[in-house]
This record gives sequence, C-alpha cells and structure tokens, in this order.
Amino acid sequence: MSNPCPNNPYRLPTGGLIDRSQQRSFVFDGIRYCGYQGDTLASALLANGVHLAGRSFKYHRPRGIYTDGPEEPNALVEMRIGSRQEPNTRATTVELYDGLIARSQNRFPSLSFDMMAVNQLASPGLVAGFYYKTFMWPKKGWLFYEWFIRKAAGLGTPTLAADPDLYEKAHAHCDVLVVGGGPAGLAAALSAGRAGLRVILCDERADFGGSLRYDERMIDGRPALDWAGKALGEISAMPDVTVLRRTTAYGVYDGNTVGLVERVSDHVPTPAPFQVRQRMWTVRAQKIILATGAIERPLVFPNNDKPGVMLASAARSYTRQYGVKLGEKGAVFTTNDDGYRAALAMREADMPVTVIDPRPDTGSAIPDLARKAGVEILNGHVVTSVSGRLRVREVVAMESDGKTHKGTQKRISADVVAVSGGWTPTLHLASHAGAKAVWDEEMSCFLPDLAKCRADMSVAGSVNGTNTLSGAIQEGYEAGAIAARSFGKTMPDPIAVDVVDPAEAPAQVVWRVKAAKGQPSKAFVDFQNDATDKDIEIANREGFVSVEHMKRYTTLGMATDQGKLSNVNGLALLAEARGASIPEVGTTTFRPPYTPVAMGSFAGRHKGRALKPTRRTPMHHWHEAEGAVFVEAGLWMRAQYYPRPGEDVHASMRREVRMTRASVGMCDVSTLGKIDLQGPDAAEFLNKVYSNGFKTLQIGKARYGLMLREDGIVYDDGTTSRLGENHYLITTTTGHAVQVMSHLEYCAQVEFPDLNVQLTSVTDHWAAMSIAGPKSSDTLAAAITGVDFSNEGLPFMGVVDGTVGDIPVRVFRISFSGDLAYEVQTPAGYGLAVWEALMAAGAPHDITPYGTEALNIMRIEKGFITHSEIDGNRTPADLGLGKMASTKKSYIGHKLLSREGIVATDRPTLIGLRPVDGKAKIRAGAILVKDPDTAKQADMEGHVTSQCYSPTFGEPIALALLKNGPDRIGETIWAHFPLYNSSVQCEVMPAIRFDPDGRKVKGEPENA
Amino acid sequence: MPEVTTQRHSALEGALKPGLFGAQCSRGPLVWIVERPGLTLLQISAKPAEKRKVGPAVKKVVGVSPPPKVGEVRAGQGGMVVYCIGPCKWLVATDGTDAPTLESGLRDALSETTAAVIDVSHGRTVIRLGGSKAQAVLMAATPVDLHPSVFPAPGCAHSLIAEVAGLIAVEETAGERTYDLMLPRSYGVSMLEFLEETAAQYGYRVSA
Repeated sequence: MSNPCPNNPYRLPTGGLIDRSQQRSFVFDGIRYCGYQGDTLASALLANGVHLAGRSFKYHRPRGIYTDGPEEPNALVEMRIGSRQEPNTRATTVELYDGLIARSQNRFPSLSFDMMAVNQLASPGLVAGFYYKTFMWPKKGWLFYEWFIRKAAGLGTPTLAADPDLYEKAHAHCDVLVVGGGPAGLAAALSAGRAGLRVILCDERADFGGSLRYDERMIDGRPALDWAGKALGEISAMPDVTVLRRTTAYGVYDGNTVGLVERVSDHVPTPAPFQVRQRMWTVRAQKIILATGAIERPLVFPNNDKPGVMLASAARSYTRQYGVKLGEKGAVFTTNDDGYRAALAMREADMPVTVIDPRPDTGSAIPDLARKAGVEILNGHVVTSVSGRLRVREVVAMESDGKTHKGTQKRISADVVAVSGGWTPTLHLASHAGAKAVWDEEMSCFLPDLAKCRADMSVAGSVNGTNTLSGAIQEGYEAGAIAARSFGKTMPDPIAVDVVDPAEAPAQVVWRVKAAKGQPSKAFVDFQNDATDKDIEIANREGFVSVEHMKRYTTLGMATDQGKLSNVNGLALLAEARGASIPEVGTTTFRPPYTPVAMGSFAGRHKGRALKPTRRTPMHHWHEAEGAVFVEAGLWMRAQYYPRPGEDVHASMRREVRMTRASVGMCDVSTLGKIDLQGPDAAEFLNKVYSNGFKTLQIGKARYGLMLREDGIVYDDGTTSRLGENHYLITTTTGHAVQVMSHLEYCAQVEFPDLNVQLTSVTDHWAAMSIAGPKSSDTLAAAITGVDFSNEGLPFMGVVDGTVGDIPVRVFRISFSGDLAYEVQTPAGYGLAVWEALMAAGAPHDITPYGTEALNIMRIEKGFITHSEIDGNRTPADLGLGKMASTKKSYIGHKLLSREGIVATDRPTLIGLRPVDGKAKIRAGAILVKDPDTAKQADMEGHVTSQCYSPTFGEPIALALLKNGPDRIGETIWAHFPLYNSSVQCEVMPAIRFDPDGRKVKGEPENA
Repeated sequence: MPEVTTQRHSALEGALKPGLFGAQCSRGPLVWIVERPGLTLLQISAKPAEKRKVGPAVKKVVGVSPPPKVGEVRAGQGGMVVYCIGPCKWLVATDGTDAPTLESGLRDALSETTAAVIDVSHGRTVIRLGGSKAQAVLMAATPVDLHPSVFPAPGCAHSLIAEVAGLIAVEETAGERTYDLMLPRSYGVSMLEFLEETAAQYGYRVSA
C-alpha cells in the first residue's frame, strides 16, 4: 500500500527497499520534509531535492552528500536537540525516523548563505600549515589568535547536558567473527554456521546484503538481494549464530579481541523504556573473517566538491536502494567499467546520462550495456571542471589522456556527477592487527598482507581485491569452510551460485586532472579537511616528504572519515610530487576506531554513583537510620559523622570526640582489611613480611606490625593476632587491604614458596567495631559473656572469645584512639545485632557512635599514623618507629634499609605541631620553612601530613614530617601554604600529645 | 538490652524487593533474581603435596571426593556442593542439617594434614539468576564465556563480575541454566543494583 510523500519530487514512483506505506516526517535546518521507512537522512534529503548538506571545514565551501556510507566527508549534521544533541553525525548513516531533527553545521547565518565563505577569498593564504606560518608574530600573539582560531575551528557543538540514555558493555565469545554482511560475509557465516561453529556476524548497517542492496544483477535467477535474504534467514536460524545489525567493528586488539559497538536505539527518537542506546561488545574471537568490502575512490579534478558530485556507487545506491531520482540530467566521470553501472542506474530513473571516460572505447560488456540503454559516452575525455554555485549545473570536459588536455572545452549540462576512480579495500581492521598494506600495481590499490598480522584473521571479498560477485561469494564461503576445518569440523558442501560477472576492461589510473586554462583550479583530495592537490605539493616543497609528515602538515586523512576516501589519492599525489613510486612513499597506519565511537558506550553503566561498585558494612542501615553522613573510603561507604539536630560537621565530630574521651564511643571499623593466615610456617612467614618480630607472639595476643617494601619504605601497618598454634588474623588499613592481600599472596607463592601457609581474605566475613573510652570495658562487660574485662583478665593487646547472647564474638584489646579501647568482631550477619546490643549496653554511659572524622582527630591527638604519613617515602625511623625495624632477623625491606640516603640523620621525621597563637588552622600539605616571606622550594624542611582541631586540647594540632624533628621540640617553625598564601607560626611538639605514656590504653593509673 | 538472636542478617535486606520490574514482555519477565541467604560456606586450602590425603579426608565428611580440576563442581551428601575454586582450593556449600557441624567435621578430618579450613559463610552474598535472558545479563557483567560447550553445568569460574571479584556457578535443572553469583558481602547491594539495571531491559522478577 502506497502512501506517497507530498513534495517528494525526486522520489521514483516504484523501486528500492524503502517502505512507501510508512511516511517519516523530519526537520532539517528548520524545514519539515517527508521520507519513508528505510531511508537514511541523506537519501530522504536527496528525494526532497536537497543536495546541499554542509559547509566545508576551512573554506566554508558548499558541500553535498557525497557517499552512501560511513566514509561520508561532507554531510555531517548535528542530530537531535536538548540533552541528546550530537554533532558531526554522518547523514548517510542516520536511519530516518519520524520526528528526526537535524541541522547543518559550520555555517552562519544559513547553509545557502554563509558569511564565513569569505574564507575562500583568502584561500591563497589558508593553504597547508597556514597557522604555523601566519600566527608566529608577535611571539606572544598566539594567545590572542588562539581564541579566534578555536572559534573558527571544529564542526558542530556538543550538548553540555548529561546524556539521559543508558549504555551497556558486554562480552561475547565465538569461534568465528565475521565482520561485514555483504556477499562475502554472508557466505562466510553460512559455511561456518553450517559446519556448526559459534559465529557472530555483524554489519554496520540496519540491513544485510552490502552491495547487493543496489546490485542490478541476478543470483540463481532471482534479484541478488533475495539471495542475501535467504542466506541471512538460514544463518539467523542457526542456534549458535549471533547476528548483530547496526553494529560496527571499530577496532581489533591483541589476543583476537575485537571491539564492536551496536547502535541499539539510534534509529528511534528515544530508546524504549529500560532499553540501552548503544551496547559495546568486547568480542573474543578464535578467528576473524574480514569481509569489510571496499570504498570507491573519488577523482581529483577542479571543483570536484560541488554539491551534486558524488561517488558512482552512491549514485547507484540512492537510485536503486532508496528510489531517488538524483537530478534532471546525470554525468558519470569514470576510469573503469564499474562506474558505468551508475549510468545504468540513472537511466533506470529516466535521466539522460553522459559518461566521460579517459579510456578509448574498450568494447567491454558494461559500457556496451550502457550505450544500448541510451547513455552518451565520451571516450578519451576527462572532466576538467564543474560549475554551479550551490549545485552542479554544468560539466566541462576536454579530450585528454588523463595528463594533458587538448581540443575545445565541451560543456555538458548535468546536475549530478557520479565519479569513480576505482576501489579501495577497507583493510582498516587488518591494519589494526599489524597487517601491512601492500600496493598492488595491477589493481592500483592497497591489499592487506596478513603475514605479520597479530590476529588469527582471514579476508574475503573486495577487501581482498576480489571484485567479482561470484568470486566474493566463493571466497567468503571458502574462508568459513577453512575455519571449520581448523576446528576439526566437517567442511560443508561447496556452494554453487549462478551469477554473471561480465569481463571488465582494465581501468586507467588518473590521480588528478589538472585545471584547463582560465578555469578554476581548486581540486580537493580530502573534502573533510579541505586539503587540495596544491596543499600536498606545498608540503612536499617545504620538506614534508614523509607520508606521516605530509598527513600532519596538510591534515589530510584526519577527522571522522580518517582518510577513507582521500588516503590513496593523497599518497599518489605525494609520490608524483616526489617523483617516487607509491610503495616508496608508503602509507600511514590505520588505528582504531574505524568510525567514531560515542564516549557513553565506553562508560557503559559505570557512571555517576555506579562509576565503581560500592561496598557497605553490615551496620550500614543503622548508620543511615542514625542520620550519619557518609564518606567514600576506597570503595567503602563509611559513616563520617553523626550530626545531632543543629550540629554541623565540626560540632558533630568534636562532640563525638569529647563524649568518647569522657565516657565511651563506638565506631564501625568493618572496613579494615582482615586476612586469615594458617599453616605450620605462619609465624616464620609473618617474621619475613613484617619488620618487627612475630615468633614470640603468644596465642591470645595481638601485636602491631609494620610491613615494608623491598626498598625499606613503609608499606602498611596493622595488628596481627595469634588465634591458635598455627592460626593468625592479620589486619590491614582500609585503603590498602586489597594490595596487602595480593602482596602477601605474592610473597607466599614467589618469595617464600617453601613456607607452608594459606592466606584467605576474610574482610567481608567479619563485622568489626571499635569501642573506645574509659567506660568501654564497662560497656562490653554488660553485653559480652565469657570474658573477664579486668586489666588482668584481658590485658592490653589481649585477644579473647566471648558471646553476646548466643552470638560468638572475638574481643581484641587494641586502641587506635589512645584511650582504653577494644575491637569486637563477629560474623558479618550478626554485626548489626551485636552493634545494637553494645549500643544498648553503653546507653547508661551515654555512648556515642563516632565516625571517621572523630576517629581521625583522636588518632592525630595520639600521634598514630595512617596513609597520610605512610606516603610511600617513609622509613620506620621517619615515622618514629625505628625500633620496629628488627636487627635480629631478615625480612622484606631489611637489606635496603641500610642505604646511605635512608640512614641519613636529617630525614624528615614525625613530630607534632600547634599554632603559636593557639587559634590558626594549620593546613595539611603546608610546607615547613624558617621564614615564609623568603621561602623557596629549597628552604623546605618538611611538610604537614595531617591536621585537625583538637577538642581535647582546645586548639588546632597537626602531625608533620620535619628534618631532625624530634631534636627540635619547642622550636618554632612556619607552616606555609603558597596556594592560599597563608602562613602559620607553629611550635614543634612531640607527635604523641594524648597520654604520651600510654597509661590509658594499658589501664594503668594516671600520673600520680 | 534488646533481645539478641542468632538470626543472620543478609546484606540485601531492605534492598531486595520482591515483584515484577522493568520492561514488560508478553512472555513475562525473562530474568528472575533471588537471594540464597544463610548458606554455610567453608573454604579448604591445601598444598599440592597433600592432595592425596586431603581428597579422602574431605570425602569422609561431604560424601564425595572434591573435584580435582578448577571449575568443576560435585554434589555431595545432604545437599552439600563442592566447588573447585582454585588449585587445591575448594568451597563447600550447604544449607542442610549438616551445616552447624561441618566446620568442626572438616577440621577433624583434615587434622592429619596442614590444609586450612576457613569459614567464609558470612563473607559472601549469593545471588541466583535464571530465565532465558540470565546469560545476556551476565554477559554484560563478566568476560567469562558462558556458552554451555565451554561452561558446562554444573561448573564454576572465578572472575570479575561487574568489576567485583566473585565466583559464578552454573547448574542446570529441567533444562534451565541458573547462575549463582558468590560475591564479597559488602558488594551485595551494589551488585544487586547492577543486575537489576541490566535485567530491566528484559523484564525481571525478584522473589523473596
């Protein structure tokens, strides 16, 4: 059922793969148009008679739709509006949907009248490298020029709003990945699938078939596309075959890994609820079959960028696939027989067509067919120019052998010019994997040489230079069959296809048509970068004779099309300018991605809160209910402080400290790393990984341990408890738990394989809470049974098991606050119950929960270190822990601890600071200098590592590393912070301010 | 004092909400999610030299020789399942009646060896996933090849699951493959959120 679009003057009444019953309304540059289901934005514009689609990058020349694929250099549009706005999208790859909104780019005020087109007048000065030459003076002028250049540069504008859509990353595995769903790819998937292999077949377009979508020939007596449909039907029904439409293989990586991006919802206005916009596949393929086809090569002649000039393959595709009448009168400029197929297609649309061919009459089949169809043929001629303002109106042809012109200029009226300079195999993905591009003189193109390819890859079809249809199908089928054999499968029966491949006459190579006298001369090699044949000559003249240098100097082959059209012509012209051959000049390397990939698909679901997974402690809900403010510590969410009504962060954390020091407080320390160590050699193992001795540690006791790196620098610290004869529990800092676990695994497996030990991370198995303050023992005694909480029953650094109700708990008498304190551990599933029981037991003592802020304040008051101090540069002695570096045994870090610089006596060493005025905040990171007014980097004597306001001492305090620190107690020094230009005069104090004798933790009577 | 019970709290409490969610499919939800709370999970780590002693000792307690190859899974007596999770490393899982005595039983049986028995029950959250699109959901989370020819049921693999290191175990009942994700408990809620977001495109059912 037909439902014709109004005002679609250039739509053929029948034919093509569009669905004429399904109208699609869309807006381009503010004007509403109508197209059909099955159109691309480009084909719908052409059906509406719109050829002008953009302005060029540098000269703002009017540009038209040039191709029908991802190689499109000109028709880059800004898609959608609002938060989905997306610049530089190729109109040739955008599937039309109802309500599509697109805008042209790089023009002001409008596409047909662009003020920046004045650049064309200045174009003699805008040649390759112009800004390196022009904006050199005065020397500081660049900063001024840059603003204008940045304004003028670039195409399109992205939105600044967050992307509202979902993206997903996924993994896939297969025996064979077939890239490209044209005749060769379909045949490859068919044979591999028939042999029972796991196959993934992908194609960047919505529909499979490749060139068969517009091929006029018959396969097995039926239109060529029917064969593709039948093959796809069979492939799709196979159980182990995955068919991915709208999926681009954008890169090949090591280990036969291929990146695909599947545009799941780009063809609809907005993704369906819960549906992703794009899915990025990481495919691990045993084998890769590239059937990526070839891209037609433009011809370089003056004014070859006028709207209306397009590739011959595009002209065929728009006419036969989309039912578009491209204009009133067509011309074809071709150097080969295949280009005549565009003339045949335009004749089908009832357009008068003239072919301009530099070759003499070849007498071959396709030109013959064209002549019979009424196509006028000018042999021995080239197009020396085209004219027209916003669209081609006329073609100028002259008799020529391709190099020198003679005779008169013939003016041929035409509003469409199809050009074909031969075909360039799409070997990008092979190049990603290290395959070399080797010049084939006979075919005048680069072919992939897989000898040095790192991937297990084969190629089939026109990517391999096989340009006949029957050859492509046979080669694809063969590639699939060979893969099948390599997996030990029975090779499928051979395929027989009945298709006519007419013999073609040799093509003529025409790298460039020089301008005729008195005619315009700008001939473009790279449309997207506005690089002309002259730019290449200039590059060569100025010494940029290497192909890599020429590319950078002229920008040829850059931007979204990455030289898909321009690469070979550019190399050939450089070769010509150098007087060298193309193989001598060589080619640039293709790198991923093949086509641009949206950033969103790289992020997948890992953005915002889900950037990294989040870890929660067993008591998380309790903290939430208590109104805790959380802070991220590594991946953990930790309670930072528990504000009461009216309290800010400062008031809350100071109160938590005061209440804890005065009575009792409890902190969730489940995040500390816990490692279970077992085995007959466990003690010896600990002796080797810690700098202090562990052999004498008794069962039921904990010991603080210091772990060094091989170079003698402190790596991590924590307590280790002996639970049984050969059973220990190691604790680590929260932040380094994972690293310490892998470090210890490494030590056990590589450094000390003879030691019989087993290491297991049990961080998540245990909930842990720290109970601190003078009333901590009373609190625990009320809740925990089976434990004698007297100083003798459970002395400092003692470990004992007990129960809360029926729940087992383990009690460690250790302190990170300097107060009498305990750590209670229980299996995580009981964590909340035990926490609540202890809170209830502490209620009579006005127990407070405290967060990481209060925890930090109390440890600074006590001079305990964290990774603010263990910063990867400190020895045990630097941190005041020199006594923990044993001299009686060998351990990791032991040897290098005696290095010259490490044993120097003036190393910055841990001390405490207080402001002389008792008020000023000492900033963490501030440098310590004698005189802040004249301070230079070299005068730095240390720096501040941690700071807080101490509620206990009623003034700001800090920990710092200062040269000869411990010898300078009582001196004054300045904490200088250049960023804020603030300086605080400080008094050097001992690092340990709170209970320096450790009487509280040990439960000894206060100083008498 | 509040009453203290030995009821284990799951990490997913409050986060796991039963019901139908996500896209509506005429065939009903294509993914289902359920937690397996309260499992007893014991890890056995041994040295290769003692492999011959460890196998029979474990068999005495669980009723089956522990599988020798990483990734293999065997069913033991009373609903016990033994996963080989690494070289000479096994995980014994059960929610059966043997659970309370399993740890001491294993310790006794292995006392002649230096093998370690570690209780990791509370350290794991186990989420079970099924339905015709369960594999598709997991493909968005893990690089493990889940194809039955490569990852047969029963089987297991240690890998990254949505950036979290965990164990994926597969079993097959009545032709349906179901997956158990055994993760560090602290990541439970985060993982559930990821799985639900990913499953939403297929429609999913959460059961208590």
